[in-house]
Amino acid sequence: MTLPVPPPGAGADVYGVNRPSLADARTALNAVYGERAAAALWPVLLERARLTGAETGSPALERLMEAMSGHHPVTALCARSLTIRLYSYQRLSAIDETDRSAE
Amino acid sequence: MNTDLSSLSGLARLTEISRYDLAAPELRTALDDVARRTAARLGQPISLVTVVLDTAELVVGSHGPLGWIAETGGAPAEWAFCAQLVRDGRPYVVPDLAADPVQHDNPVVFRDGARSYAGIPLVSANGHVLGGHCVVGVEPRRYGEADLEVLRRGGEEALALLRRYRDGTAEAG
Repeated sequence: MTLPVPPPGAGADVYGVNRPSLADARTALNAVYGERAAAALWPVLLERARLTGAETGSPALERLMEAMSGHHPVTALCARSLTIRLYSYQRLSAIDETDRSAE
Repeated sequence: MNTDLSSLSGLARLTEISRYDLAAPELRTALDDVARRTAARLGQPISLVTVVLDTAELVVGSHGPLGWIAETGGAPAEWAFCAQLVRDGRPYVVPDLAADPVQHDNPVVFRDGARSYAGIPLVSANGHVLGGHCVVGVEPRRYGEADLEVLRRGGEEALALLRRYRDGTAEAG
């Protein structure tokens, strides 16, 4: 079965860090487990998260991160990283938006 | 900032990190105490105990005003000074972050005001760099061997605490 390639994250980056996406999750798993093992793991995580892999946006990523958190402890660490990246992106975006509005 | 995260994703290192119960509240309290003592000994406003994951830094102990990092619990690895400790496996000292060719464009520097950094790696018994113990200043500062020795002593305390929260059951797969 050929799974769709996750689309890249949408929107502007914040200080060089983009809004994390499903593609970033897949890239992280490739880096940690290697492409072959990650390719086997990916559909398992998508099924647990009830995703097709083509979704965009933070809600899909949050469902995937939840599925990753319940998987192997190392996969859960990858989810923790993605969570920190997502929260950092959201928090700094919000702070900068507030600062711009105040100017 | 350093955008090369390739050396952070080693499976053996992450497997070692996964063996620690980093969410234990008692561990956090104890590591906060280590950070508080190190900050006081070195006269710096901020001290951290960190674990560097594959793409982010997790703050597991801290002292001082961390701003938004206190809310997120960490930072993307591109912005994490302690990620360099994993890349190199040795102390990392930047007397003037704003003038540093690697760190000057790091938002923690030009946006949040960090001006100096000194950190030592936290190395597990089996040789993996888990993260670091560091101080961050808001003024440029030169750090000497005596300062690094203070950090090493704090790092040894942090590692001893972390070992209490390690189990030997997790296996990668």
